Amino acid sequence: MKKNRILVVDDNIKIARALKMQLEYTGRFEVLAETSSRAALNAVRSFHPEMAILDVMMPDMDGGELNYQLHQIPELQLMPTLFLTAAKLQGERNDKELIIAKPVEIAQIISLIDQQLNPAAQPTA
Amino acid sequence: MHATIIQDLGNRGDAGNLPRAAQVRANPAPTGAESRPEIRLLLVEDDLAFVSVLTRFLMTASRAKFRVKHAGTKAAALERLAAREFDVVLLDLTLPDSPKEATFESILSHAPNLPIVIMSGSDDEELAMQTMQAGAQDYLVKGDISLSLLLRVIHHAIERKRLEGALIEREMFYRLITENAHDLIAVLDRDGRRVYNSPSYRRLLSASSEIPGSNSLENVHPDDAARIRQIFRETVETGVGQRTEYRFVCSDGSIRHIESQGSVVKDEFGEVAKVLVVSRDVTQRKRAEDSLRESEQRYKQLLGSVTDYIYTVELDGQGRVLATRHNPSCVAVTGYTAEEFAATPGLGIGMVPFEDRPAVEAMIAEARRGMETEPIEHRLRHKDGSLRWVRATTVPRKNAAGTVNSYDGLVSDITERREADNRLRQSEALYQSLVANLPQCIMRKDRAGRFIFVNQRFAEMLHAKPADVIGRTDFDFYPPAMAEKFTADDRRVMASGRMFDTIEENLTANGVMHDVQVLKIPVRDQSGEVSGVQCIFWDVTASRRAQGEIQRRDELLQAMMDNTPAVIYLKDLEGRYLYINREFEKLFKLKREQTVAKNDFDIFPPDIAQRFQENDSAIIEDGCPRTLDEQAPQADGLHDYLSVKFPVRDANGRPYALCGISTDITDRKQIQTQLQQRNQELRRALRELQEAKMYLGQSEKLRAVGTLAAGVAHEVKNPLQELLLNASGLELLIGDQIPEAREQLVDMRASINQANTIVCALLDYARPDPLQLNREDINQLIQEVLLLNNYSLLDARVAVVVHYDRGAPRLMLDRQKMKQVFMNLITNAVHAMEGIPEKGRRIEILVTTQTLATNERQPRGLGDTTCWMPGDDLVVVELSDTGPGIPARLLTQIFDPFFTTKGPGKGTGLGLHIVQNIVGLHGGTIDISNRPEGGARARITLNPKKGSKHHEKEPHPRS
Repeated sequence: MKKNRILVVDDNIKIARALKMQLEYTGRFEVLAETSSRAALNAVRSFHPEMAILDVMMPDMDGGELNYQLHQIPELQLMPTLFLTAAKLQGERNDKELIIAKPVEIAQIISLIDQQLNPAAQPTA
Repeated sequence: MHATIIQDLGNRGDAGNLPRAAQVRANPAPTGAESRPEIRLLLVEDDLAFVSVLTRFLMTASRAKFRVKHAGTKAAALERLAAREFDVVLLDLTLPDSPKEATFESILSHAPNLPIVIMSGSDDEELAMQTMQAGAQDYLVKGDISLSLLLRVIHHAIERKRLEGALIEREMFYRLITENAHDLIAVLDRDGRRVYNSPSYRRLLSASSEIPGSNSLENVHPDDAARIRQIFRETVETGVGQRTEYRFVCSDGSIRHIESQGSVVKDEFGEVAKVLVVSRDVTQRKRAEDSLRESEQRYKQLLGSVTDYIYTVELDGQGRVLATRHNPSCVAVTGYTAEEFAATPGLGIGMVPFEDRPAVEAMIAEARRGMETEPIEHRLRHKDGSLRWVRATTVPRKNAAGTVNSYDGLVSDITERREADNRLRQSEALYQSLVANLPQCIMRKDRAGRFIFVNQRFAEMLHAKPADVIGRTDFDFYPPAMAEKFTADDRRVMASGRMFDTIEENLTANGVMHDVQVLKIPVRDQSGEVSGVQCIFWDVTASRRAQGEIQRRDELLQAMMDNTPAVIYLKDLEGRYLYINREFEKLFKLKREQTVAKNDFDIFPPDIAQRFQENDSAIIEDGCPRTLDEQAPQADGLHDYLSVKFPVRDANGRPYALCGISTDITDRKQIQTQLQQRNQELRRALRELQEAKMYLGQSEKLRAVGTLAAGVAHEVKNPLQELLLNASGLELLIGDQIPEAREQLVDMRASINQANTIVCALLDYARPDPLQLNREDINQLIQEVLLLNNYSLLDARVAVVVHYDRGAPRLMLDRQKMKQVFMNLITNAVHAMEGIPEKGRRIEILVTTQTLATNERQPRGLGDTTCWMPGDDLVVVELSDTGPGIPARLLTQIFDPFFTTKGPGKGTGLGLHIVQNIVGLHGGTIDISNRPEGGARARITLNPKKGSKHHEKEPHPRS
């Protein structure tokens, strides 16, 4: 089975590392974890992520801006994004973006990834 | 010696100014042992050799003795001249310290009276001759001087100078005589123009500077002019002067009688060049002649008169009385006949009372000496014994030798005139003193407006003496406009011939304006023509002011009475109306005229009139003002009045009327109520304003906390995220092998989530948003609040029991605000239970849904429930505690801002107030009461249909 390529960007290296470890632990995802937006923008050219999980408040470039920059790359135009933020109390969602308030359970993240990438794999609610 | 000389010169001048030589000559007395006169000579010469020769030369002279002093420079010469001890100066023009042209001038200026003889070189002869013209006596040319020439020149110089001085003296002397003479001396040219006039003319012609050149004939009186011109012409033509008399018109217009003697001055050809006129002012003499003529006339009159008593006394050469003659009128004047007079010598003087005799005797004595006498008035004892006043005159008659040989006497009876005079004088004096002392200002003006009489008071008012006012006009004392007015009035009076009476303004000299009453009467002369105007005025300022004051006060009072909303009336002692004010007229639809002689019974219903009358008579009886509550009917029913009634007294203190002032207090009562309402509204508005401010202040604080909390949240939530991920990571790694670890990790995750919940609640609470309404589950909201307060509840050992109503309808709520409501209520409950045993501390929360039935009472409590309809589902939350409850007396105040029963630092007093506000904003009610079983209960009722008074926002997904 082909693994989904997930881009994780969080300036908190512990979160980035934990997310990468646990997502890859499932065996279903290939994760590229970066701790800065600049590094992420460089890395995606060779990585081609299918989905991005982005922190919002980051020092060099915030998550919103990074998301915009990523979508300027032609191959990534349709890539869904999941935002993780400590600034919001509740999550929100619209067509393209999901905003999840930190802290969030890994299980919920996996569930949201699957909603986007593998609707068929979703367990029936 | 000097003293003699000075006397010889007529005591005039300073001897030092006179030529020394003249003095010497004038005094032939020997000086010292020498008989020859000594000539003191100053030799001004820089050539010492010449000096030595000349000095020796002079010493050998035998005719005169010289004392020579020498000066080698001009400066030395001037120094020596200062001593004034020389008779002659020999001057060389060429001196080392002076240009030769200037030498003579400067020496002369220092010795103007000394004869100076110039010595010059042959080359300077011309200059020497010039100095002669400038005043030098002679000159000598050096090298051409012999002793005899020198001596002669010196002697001539001294002699000439002496003669010059004498001539000047003489001239001055004559001039002095001319100038000091009383006679008028004039020198005229052939046409009569003045060449010289002696200073005495100053008495006649004031502008002495204009005298020379003017024609003297122009000053001759016109009536005499032709004659004098003729005489003057004859004098010039014939060269024979004449004496004549004429009138001279002086510069000041006065006329003097002048007697002039002309004589002619001829020139070298024998022609008349000038006319010398010596004149004398004979005015005095002329007057004496005139009076003589008058006396002659009087004499003739005297003779012609027959009614007066005339007598003649003839005298012999020694002045003894020869005979007396008496005309028939003597009987009429004295009562005695001529025969009786003839028979009784001394009867004449005998009739005169002793007191008057000296005057009569003096008059007769003068007549005997040939003198004219002024008439005298004296008394005379008539034969019938009455005392008569007579006027007596005597006139002497002289024979050809000029001796008095008789005198005539004229005696006229003036008793009646005298008495009339006396009476007139008395009445005049009385009038004068009256006029002078009257407090009125009195004056008389002629037709031209000039004052011809002013009394003392008027003069005083003008700050002038009466004499200084006479002859002047109003324009000299008053401002032009005022003087104009006075003059116009005067003219009108004089034109109409009628009295004029007015009150006008007058200004005193010290600038005080006052009102005066003026009376102007035309003054007529004997022929009945109006000759002027008589004015009398007096100050009426004070009385005018007083009158004006009274009138003003009356008007003011009237205006006050007519414009006051009070009812004012005046009744006589019988209760009849004397006066009612406009308000009275208006209220009872009456006119002032209609109330005259009417009483209360004519105006008001009997019972009311009766009460009025009772009140009135009580006041009149005891004489004291009273304040009464009265009622009177109005169109809209009975009105309440507050009446002040008081007796009005006359000057003797007796009451003659009753005055009442009644104020309608019906309106006042209404207004008071309105005012109270308005006040309450204002107070409420103020409170609301204060609350809003408080609330705003609170929001402000919360907003700051919110900003802070957002930062804090970020810092807390990231670690929470780490923990959560790591916990689940650990679970994955070790969970399967160690079941205990798995459990612990699950607990850990729960704790992490709880921490998150608290952080979120904190953020939520502090979120600085305005009212944000969303459809919310009240159960969930209460749950969140309890979570948020979990720690403090545990810490306070308070047990919480909640009965949720999961089926309750969702409500439009602002989560944050509504959470605050419950947080505040929980905090209050916790605080309330601090005093009771820990075991008994319990909070019970009960959520229910109730339907508002048709007949059900509106839920209790504060809040706007007007829109609630029967059948509405209401969500009710009750929160009870087991504390001591609220004292009943405080129950009504607990929602007031700043009301608190908590100790200092524990409560703001705003908690319940904010609760009530928020519930109110949500359109709900809140009620706090004591439970019958103990403790307090708060009951909040919310209507899902009527979520808020405010605009309802539909929930929408956030972007």
